[in-house]
Amino acid sequence: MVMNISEFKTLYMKTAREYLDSMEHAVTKLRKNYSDKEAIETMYISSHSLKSQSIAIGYSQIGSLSNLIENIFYEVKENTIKLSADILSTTLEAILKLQQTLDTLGKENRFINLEENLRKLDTIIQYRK
Amino acid sequence: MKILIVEDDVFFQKFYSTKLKEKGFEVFIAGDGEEGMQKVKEIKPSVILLDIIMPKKDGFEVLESLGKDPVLRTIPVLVFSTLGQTKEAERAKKLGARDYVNKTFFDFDRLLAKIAEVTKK
Repeated sequence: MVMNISEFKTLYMKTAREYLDSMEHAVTKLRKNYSDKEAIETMYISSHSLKSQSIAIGYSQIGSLSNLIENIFYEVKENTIKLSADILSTTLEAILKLQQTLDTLGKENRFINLEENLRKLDTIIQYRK
Repeated sequence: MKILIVEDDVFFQKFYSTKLKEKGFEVFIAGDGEEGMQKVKEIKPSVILLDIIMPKKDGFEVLESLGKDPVLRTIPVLVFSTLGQTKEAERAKKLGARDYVNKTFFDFDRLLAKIAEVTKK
């Protein structure tokens, strides 16, 4: 039996917004200091958690975009991707789009297309390889 | 039966604790690995549900700490894995976890079956 977890949607919306706020704040810190380990860790853990929750509740595009952010910051932690103004800008764009997605989901019960953000973040990972 | 959930994500803490309490389990929660280790020593749960990626002390470090204690290492641990974490889940098993459950795909019957399996005497 697979559980119906729509009853937890309100909790999801609250915690998802908190993760995105943390990530937005972390990007602001990283723009001043690319080596800020605490901010990098925040990005990694928050995006990982947002990915997990989003997949669990059935919001797969949000999960996929969060997964890409998680992967990027895993590589940053491992020093296999070097942060740059471009990477942070693309990441921030994705975070803002996710915040907008949650707003639209909450008010209009519909999703925004995240394809462009997915493509841009995927390019960062692919280019690194 | 006492279950300790070591998980930093509030959404999953709430989901799993609610569902497990409905089934009659006594549920305790720790929000990171350090708190998890403190609560394991205080509570001595029958089973631990352990997330891998957490702040302070991650799931691997918790498993290593549990493994060093002759009493605590007998407590069965099920790790929470998510999409794409199969390698991490296998690593956790090598560190002493009994099995893993995919926390993003909520198959609660399967979780209950695994809890029953690892806690049977």
